[in-house]
Amino acid sequence: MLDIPRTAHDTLETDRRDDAAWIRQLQAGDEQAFDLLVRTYGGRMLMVARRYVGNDEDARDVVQAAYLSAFRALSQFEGTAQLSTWLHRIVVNTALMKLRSRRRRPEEPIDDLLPAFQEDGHHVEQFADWCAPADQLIERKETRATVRACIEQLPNNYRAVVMLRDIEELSTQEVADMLSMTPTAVKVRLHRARQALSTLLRAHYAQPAIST
Amino acid sequence: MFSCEDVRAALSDYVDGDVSPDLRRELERHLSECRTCQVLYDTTRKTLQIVTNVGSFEVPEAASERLVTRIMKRLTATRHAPTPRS
Amino acid sequence: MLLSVTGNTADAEDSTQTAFLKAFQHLADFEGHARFGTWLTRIAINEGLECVRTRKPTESLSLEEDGGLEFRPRLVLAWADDPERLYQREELRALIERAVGSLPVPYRLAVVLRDLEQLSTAEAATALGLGIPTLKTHLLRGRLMLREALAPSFIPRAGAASV
Repeated sequence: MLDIPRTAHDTLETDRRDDAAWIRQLQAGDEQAFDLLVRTYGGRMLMVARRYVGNDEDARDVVQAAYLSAFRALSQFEGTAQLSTWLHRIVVNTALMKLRSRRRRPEEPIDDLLPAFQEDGHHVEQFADWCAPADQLIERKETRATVRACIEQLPNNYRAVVMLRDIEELSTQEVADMLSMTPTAVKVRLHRARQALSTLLRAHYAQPAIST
Repeated sequence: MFSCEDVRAALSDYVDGDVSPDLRRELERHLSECRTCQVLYDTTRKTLQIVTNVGSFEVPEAASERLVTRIMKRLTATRHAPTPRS
Repeated sequence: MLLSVTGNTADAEDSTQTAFLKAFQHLADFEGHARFGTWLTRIAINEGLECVRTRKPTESLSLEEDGGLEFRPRLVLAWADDPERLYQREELRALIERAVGSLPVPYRLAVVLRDLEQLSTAEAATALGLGIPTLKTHLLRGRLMLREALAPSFIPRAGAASV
């Protein structure tokens, strides 16, 4: 699910080096070799991470986590891909996971999400489906239509925040900017809107209808 | 009638070449007659070209000494701790 | 359904319930006259969404009649023949990264995975846990916003050559 296959731009123009000796040193546990790996590609990986997570601090977290994953996966690296390519893929996957964790469990430290990667970017272990049952419910077309209908019954200003935040997935700040509100006000209004929406939905599903 | 809104909605797919022959025909007809949409299409195409090319540029920025130290510290800690992964 | 909600209203102090009742009153007002869509458009105007017109790409987003969001390109002028030539490599790179970084996250991710990482539609959709139609919508908006963000830098100044 998180597999990023080989991509076009993970090999830059300056990557024409013979990694073979370097890889041997890395796999032998040579810390200086790893230090060099961090120094050589760290800047580039920071830039890649920043595109996903949007800020420097989180980008640093992602790069750190990615390098640690890389370290753990070194024994499985066969050298068929370039080191930079391999690293790039790990960074992208780590960044995407960071974004997912941000949405679902904002307090979770990145360390707990350290994945183990094979050389081609595939996860070593099975990842539990990160969709909670509630999310699977949302996938059903009929459920989405119901939710949509209930959203339309919300008062004007409540509906706007739910649409922008939960459907379009804009950030709190982005919604605040668009609606000329403070982020705090957005959060308060969103909370009320969601409460209202749950009540509506509960009422819908509590009906003694002949349904599944 | 095929409107400018219709063009805008299909623009991303069209740039990718991901449109049906019928839709392509409609789009090309509209584009040949509508200067604004033609410009929108051209500039969108150029945007993607530039973005794609930039992806291959080398980055001048290096990881800071601080970050390197931080990563190496974590690495050493990991190596000397019992393997956590099951 | 209306009956079951109002019938079950036990907690009178709950302000959300009050909001409900207001909403349903409004519904009754409009049902007889305008389409739902028109009501929604008026609400968008009331919220000031349509009135937001600045250079920032995110502020060209507005609620449409069907309840969806639309991005309207505003700066539709021709660019220079070879826009990349206008800048040094490093300048250009910084320009693009900044523009990409200015996009709202869902749209940014679609653009990054499709146009920077060069993943296919299916691959990008899977990586983001989205259906393909949603990914395509995000990609469309992301690309249009990106174009908008870059336009000021690539529209030739007076006297320069252009397409």
